[in-house]
Amino acid sequence: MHVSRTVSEHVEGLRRGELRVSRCGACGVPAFPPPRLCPRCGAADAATWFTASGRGVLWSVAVFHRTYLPEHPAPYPVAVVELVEGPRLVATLTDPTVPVGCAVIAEIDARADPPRIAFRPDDHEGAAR
Amino acid sequence: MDTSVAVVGLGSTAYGALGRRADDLAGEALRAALADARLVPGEVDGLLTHRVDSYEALAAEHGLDPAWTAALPPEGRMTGPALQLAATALRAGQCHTVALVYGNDSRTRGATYGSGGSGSTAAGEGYGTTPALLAPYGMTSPGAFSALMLARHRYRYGTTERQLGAVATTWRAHARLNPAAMRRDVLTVDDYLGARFVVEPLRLFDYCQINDGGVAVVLTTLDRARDRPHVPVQVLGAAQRARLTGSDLPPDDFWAGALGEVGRAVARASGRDRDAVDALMVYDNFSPNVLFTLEGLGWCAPGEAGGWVEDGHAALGGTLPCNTSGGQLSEGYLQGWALVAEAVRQLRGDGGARQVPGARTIQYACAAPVTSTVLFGREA
Repeated sequence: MHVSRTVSEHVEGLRRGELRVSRCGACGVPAFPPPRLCPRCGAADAATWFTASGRGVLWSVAVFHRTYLPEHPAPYPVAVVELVEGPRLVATLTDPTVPVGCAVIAEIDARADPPRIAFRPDDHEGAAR
Repeated sequence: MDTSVAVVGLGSTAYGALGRRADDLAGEALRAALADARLVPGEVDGLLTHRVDSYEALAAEHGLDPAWTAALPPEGRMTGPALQLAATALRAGQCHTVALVYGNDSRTRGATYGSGGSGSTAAGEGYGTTPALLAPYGMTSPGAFSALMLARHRYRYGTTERQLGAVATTWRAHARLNPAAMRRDVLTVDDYLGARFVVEPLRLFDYCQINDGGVAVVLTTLDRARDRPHVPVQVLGAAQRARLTGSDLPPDDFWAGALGEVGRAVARASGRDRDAVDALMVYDNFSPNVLFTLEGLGWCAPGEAGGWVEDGHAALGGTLPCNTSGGQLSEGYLQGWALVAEAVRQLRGDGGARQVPGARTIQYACAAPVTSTVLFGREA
């Protein structure tokens, strides 16, 4: 039922402390996770990986108050962040009270298993966009 | 040549924790729908099953040897497409009478697997198309997806918790007029606000309750429908638009683009525009979806649906009565099929204490990675 897509480059990047995301290598459109066919230009298996700045904006956040899985005891936040390079991804937050719209920057916990991204407010960006 | 199609048979089981298999419930609903239409198995030459384990066993047990068969995957987003598919087959002359049969035993099955009681939502390690990007963060539930959309909607438009709560309380007031509804006790806004968060900002009563049940609908050509005992409830239009690319994350537009497109398509197909719609049956797996659907179909400007519901426009007697059965939040979560059943009952005039007076046109809509809508109506 679930289609697996190659995201090992992303996961291995996090193990090295790098935020690796993909775009279409043919036309450059942001495409993460990497599709088999580029939705814009149709190039097959053409995704290229690059290291993102880690800067973005908190697109939304929700807080689980119910424990569904033992490895994720509630409460915990789940964030969606839009990176300045375009891709959006799911991550956690260092502080669940970070408001939607806030400029954030990634902190990578490379030693967690699996490695994880936590976003914190980006002081250099200051106010919300 | 008139290629109109109509619902002539409707059957449903009780909804709740029933301890029965999906196919057993689907079979009961099918038998009820055939009896309702006064049809025997030999008169049915089309079969569409949804969330049924074995279409083959279901057909064998009910003497069906159709000329046309389809089986759809279990997601509730497939209910509108099921009706569209069957109507298209009828219009094309591939068959003349289709039974659409749905059965769900998630409640019983969940209990069997020991998920910790009667869960409000499904969860699992395999959530989404790319679990490796979601599971490490505990992003495991469709409810969380809806919670993320609501938090975004709140950021963009200031939707309040009382406005959202008006969806649950309005639906509950409707359910109290429906003897078949699962949740019929009084629900006030204070009750809503006092309930626990599940995935904040969603509270307990923003979630439909997973349950067991079955629904079956018999669809046939309009010329045949006129010979059946009930007034034909026509399928005037049906449309879908997927947003499957990037569907692991909430859409930026709350599915407004897809909703607008399918809404325009059924208005064009039916010749009946939004002003002709007497009631809306809106897919409410989680209450924020109601707001997104009202805005996407153009009933409210973006961001204004919360206030619209709070002001009573979606209640019986309001501008556009919605989910007059209590919906999936209060009547029962049958992945859209109970809403379809309610549309048929209302158009037949069988709504009882919750009847929408003089209803001629009722719309079903589901905002999802496959967004769909179906317009039902009596002859003008």
